[in-house]
Amino acid sequence: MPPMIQLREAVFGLEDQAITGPINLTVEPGEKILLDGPSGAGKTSLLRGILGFLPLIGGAYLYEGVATNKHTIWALRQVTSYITQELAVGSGPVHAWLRECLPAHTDIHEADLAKFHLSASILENSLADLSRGERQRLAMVAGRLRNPKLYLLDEVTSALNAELRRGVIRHFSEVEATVIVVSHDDDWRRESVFRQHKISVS
Amino acid sequence: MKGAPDLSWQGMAMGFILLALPLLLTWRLRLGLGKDIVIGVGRMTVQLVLAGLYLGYLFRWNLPWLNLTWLGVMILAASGSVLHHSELRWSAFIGPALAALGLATLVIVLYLNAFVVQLDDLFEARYLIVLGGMLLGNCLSANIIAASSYYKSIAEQQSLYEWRLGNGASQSQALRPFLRESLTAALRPGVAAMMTMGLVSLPGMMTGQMLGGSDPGVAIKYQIVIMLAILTCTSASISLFLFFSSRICFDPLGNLKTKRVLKNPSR
Repeated sequence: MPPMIQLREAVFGLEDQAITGPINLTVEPGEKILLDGPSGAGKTSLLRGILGFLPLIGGAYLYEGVATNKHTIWALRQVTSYITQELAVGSGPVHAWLRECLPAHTDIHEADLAKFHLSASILENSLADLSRGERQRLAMVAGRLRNPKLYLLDEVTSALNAELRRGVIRHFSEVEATVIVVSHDDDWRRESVFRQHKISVS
Repeated sequence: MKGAPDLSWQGMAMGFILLALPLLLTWRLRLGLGKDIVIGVGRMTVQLVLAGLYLGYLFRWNLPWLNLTWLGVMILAASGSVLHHSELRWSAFIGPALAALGLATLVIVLYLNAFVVQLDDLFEARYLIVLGGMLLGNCLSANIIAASSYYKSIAEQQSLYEWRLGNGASQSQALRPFLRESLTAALRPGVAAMMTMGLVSLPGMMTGQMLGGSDPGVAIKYQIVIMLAILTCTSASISLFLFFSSRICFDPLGNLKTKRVLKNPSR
């Protein structure tokens, strides 16, 4: 089985302007990676590059052994849950939002919400009234319900208290899917399942 | 049908005397609008005189190809105006604007002429040009609002858009909230105007028709139909405009080509 993601001297950027340095990274299916490196090293940009939001302008990027093109990028997005720090989810009721971002006929059970310490009553709330932490956890509920093969997590524990944070980290250390994490929280480092990969400044 | 009596030169002069009050006001209160008022009134007068001249000829000759060409010129001017007043780049949008406004206006005018007014000559100047102009004029601002707000909010809320794509949404699914938001913003004023029509305001077309000697009963029928046509033309032209332009504005990976799309891509 080929590695899920392979970057060889990969540079992501916009209009020939490099935004990440050359990156070498191989991610096996099911592997858990914690991206390390100073802020500004391009960790978030690397996640956006993997998703095709930043074009590859140098080096090679392979997905499941195939050099990426528009088909592989759209296919990768299909199986990914990308969860970001500051989720501008918009307004309106929570249940309507969840419906819209999940595949049709996905059932939402109380247990799915409880997994991230949310109660079922939150479904009736308005998105605008949620705290940052609640939004982050809601995004994780939505992400998990999609049953992805790949999680790309960008500072997803930044608005959570220590207990919730540890719960979330434990959850992602146990999932079957591949997980790539960007985080400043040391708690991720303490979870030995995560292989730390250093990203240096370009 | 007896028309409105022609206005004499003295009559027109008396009309212009009305200008004295706004001019006096701007002078006394130092609004600094004097120059603009004079230029505005001047332009309006000259443009309408010209419109009167060419419409006179168009109506007299009434050649289908010329009428259609003239409608084309109006569509071109309308497309240019949409882009000029928006933050969208001319080069990316002129094609889609022309195609969208052209298609929507033409189809709806011909529909009106064929099935509503039931003309024998579908290309008759009096209907093709007047109704076409009416539709264009009324869906312009909605198109400006819709297209600008659509592309601007995608650029501004790039993280939301990327988040949706990064969670398996197709491009059209990821764009749906933006589409919904901009269509609502664009259609709302027109719908609001219909709510008070006939109560607060007497629409210009109906007023003109009645001054021209039409029976109020006939005038309101035209007005009702034109309001329906405007709403349809607005929805259709916006949808087509966004649809045609999306082919140019996004790359194959679904990313917005911000620099190609917006005049001032800040952030």
